[in-house]
Amino acid sequence: MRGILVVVYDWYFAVIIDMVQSSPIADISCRPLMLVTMGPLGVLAVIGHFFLAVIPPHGDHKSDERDRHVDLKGEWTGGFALGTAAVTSVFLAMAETESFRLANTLFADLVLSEIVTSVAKLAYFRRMAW
Amino acid sequence: MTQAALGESIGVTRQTVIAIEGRYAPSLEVVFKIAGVFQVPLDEVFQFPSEV
Repeated sequence: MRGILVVVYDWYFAVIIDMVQSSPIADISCRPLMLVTMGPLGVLAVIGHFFLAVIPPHGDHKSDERDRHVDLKGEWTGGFALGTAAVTSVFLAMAETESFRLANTLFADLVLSEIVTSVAKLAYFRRMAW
Repeated sequence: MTQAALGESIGVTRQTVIAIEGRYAPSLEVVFKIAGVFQVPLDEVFQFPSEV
């Protein structure tokens, strides 16, 4: 799921950079593009989680307490990153940053926190592997 | 007893048994289960390294 998120965000980022290079920020409306990006991402996330929950793990892939421990710590680290990014966004809002930058900072924060969560889980998993 | 068999009897994967033999600190529940499988007191299976 996070792989799809990163790929979709890369596409979004490329389009936004292209828009920024071709016209002034004040003239850009990123709302339609954000809706087109976030809508399918939300639907994909729901479908993905549904299938992950429904399809039973097979073979040696059943989860145990170590997996849950790694998952919990990874989510906590990702949550910390998200909280930090949210506070940064609040400061940006207080500095009366234009909505284009604010919206894109928030979107980037969401993607970044997901990446941090994944990297943290991998790191915790390796650290607890032996 | 193999790692896989121990893991099976206490409800964890073989990888987790390997991790417990290394640096992973298991939950108290798993600690009790392991001691129960070997029918020995906890401190015969696990020791906490003293820093004093």
